[in-house]
Amino acid sequence: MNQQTFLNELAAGLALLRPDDRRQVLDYYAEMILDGIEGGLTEEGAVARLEPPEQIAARIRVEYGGLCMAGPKTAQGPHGVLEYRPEGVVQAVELAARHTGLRLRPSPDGMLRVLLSAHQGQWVTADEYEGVYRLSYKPPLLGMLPPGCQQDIVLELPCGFEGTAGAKTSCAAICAEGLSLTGKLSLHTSHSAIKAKNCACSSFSLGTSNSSITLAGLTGQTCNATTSNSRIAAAGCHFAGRLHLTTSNGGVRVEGVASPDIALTTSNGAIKGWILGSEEDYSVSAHTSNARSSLPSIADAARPNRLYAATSNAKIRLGFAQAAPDKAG
Amino acid sequence: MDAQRKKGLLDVCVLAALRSQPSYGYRIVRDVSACVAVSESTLYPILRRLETNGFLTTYTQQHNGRQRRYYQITDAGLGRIRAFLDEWDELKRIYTFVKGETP
Repeated sequence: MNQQTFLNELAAGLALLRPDDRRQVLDYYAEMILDGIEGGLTEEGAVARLEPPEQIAARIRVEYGGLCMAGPKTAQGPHGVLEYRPEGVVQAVELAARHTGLRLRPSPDGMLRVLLSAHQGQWVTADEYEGVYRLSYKPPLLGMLPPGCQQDIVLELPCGFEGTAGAKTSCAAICAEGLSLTGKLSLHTSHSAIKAKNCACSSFSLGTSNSSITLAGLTGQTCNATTSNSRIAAAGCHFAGRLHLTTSNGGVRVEGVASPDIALTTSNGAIKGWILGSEEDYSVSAHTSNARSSLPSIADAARPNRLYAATSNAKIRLGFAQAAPDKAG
Repeated sequence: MDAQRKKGLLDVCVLAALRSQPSYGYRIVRDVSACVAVSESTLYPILRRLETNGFLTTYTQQHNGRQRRYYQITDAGLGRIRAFLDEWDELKRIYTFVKGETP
C-alpha cells in the first residue's frame, strides 16, 4: 500500500472526528511514513511497518470515545437533554439508577456519554477515579416526580470499548443493543424485563426477577442470565465458554445457540428449542418430572461439550441442528 | 504485566525520551523501543494524554522541506519522572520484602 492510499483509508475511518483532531492524526502518521523513508525504507515498506489503517482508525475512535479533549463534564444538548461524559480515558463505566429504565447503545461518534433529561439532572452524581466512571441517578422514591423524570437513561458506549460496563436499576427495564466491549457487560434490575440484542462482549451477566430476559445475536466467552417467575429466550447466541440460563416457574427457549457448556435451569416450565451443534459432541444431563424429555441423558467424558437441562412438571424438547430447521418441519 | 500498570509505565518512558532535549515521533518510538516494545499507534494516544495533562508541549519546525512535529517536556513532566524514580525506591523495598531476603 502506498502512502496516499494509507492516509485516505485512515482519513475515511476518522470521518466522525473533529477536523482538527483528524488532521493531527493524519499529520502524525504522514510524518511517521516520511521519517521511515528518510531512514532508508521504501514508501511501501514504511507504510507496511504501521498497523492497517482501519485498525488504527478503530483504536483512535475508541480513544476519542474515552478521552474527551474538549467540553465540560456535562453539556446541555438540544431539547433539554443533559449529557454526562468522562474527562479522561476510562476502562469501566458503572451506571446506577432506580425506578428508571436504561438503554445502552453504541455511540454514534465514538464518545462515551450518559444522556438524561434536564429534570433528571438534579439527582445525578458522577465521578471518575482511576479509570472508572460512575454515574448514579437516585430520584426520590416517594411523591410525584416532575414530567421528564420517567425518561429512560441512555448510556452510549464507543464501538470496541476497551473495558467493562455495568448498568443497574430497579423496577424498570434494561435494553442493550449493538454494543461491542472487550470486557464484561453487566445488566441488573428487578421486576422488569432485560433485552440484549446483537452485542459482542467478553462476558455477560444479566439478572432480574419476576420478568423475562430476551437475548438475540450475542457473542462472547460467557453468559449468565438469571431471573425468576418468568421466561428466558435466547436466539442466535454464540459463547465460546459457557451459556447458563436460569429461571423458575417459566419456560426456557433456545434457538440456534452455540456453546460448549450450556445449562438451562427452571422449574414448572418447558425447556424447548434447538442447539447449534452436533448431538454427538455433547454429554447430556436432562432432568424433569411428570413429563418427558426429548433427549436422553448421556454421560461421555470423550464428548467435548456439555448440555444440562433441568426443570420439573414440564417437558424438555430440545434438539441439535447444524442450521435452522425448516419452518415447515 | 498488568495493562493498567504498563500504560502508566509507557507514559513515563516517553517522558524520559524527552528528558534531555525535544524529540519527534519516529525517534521517540525508536528510543523507547530500546527498552520496551512500543508502536507508532501505541505512542499516539500516549503523546496526546501527556499533552492534555501538561507534561509536554508540542511545536512544529521545518525539516527537509516539510513540517515536523516536536515534543518537549515541561517542568511538570520532569516532576513526573522524579516522582516515578522516587516510587522505585519504595518498590524496591517491597520487592525485597516479598522475595524474602533481608534488606
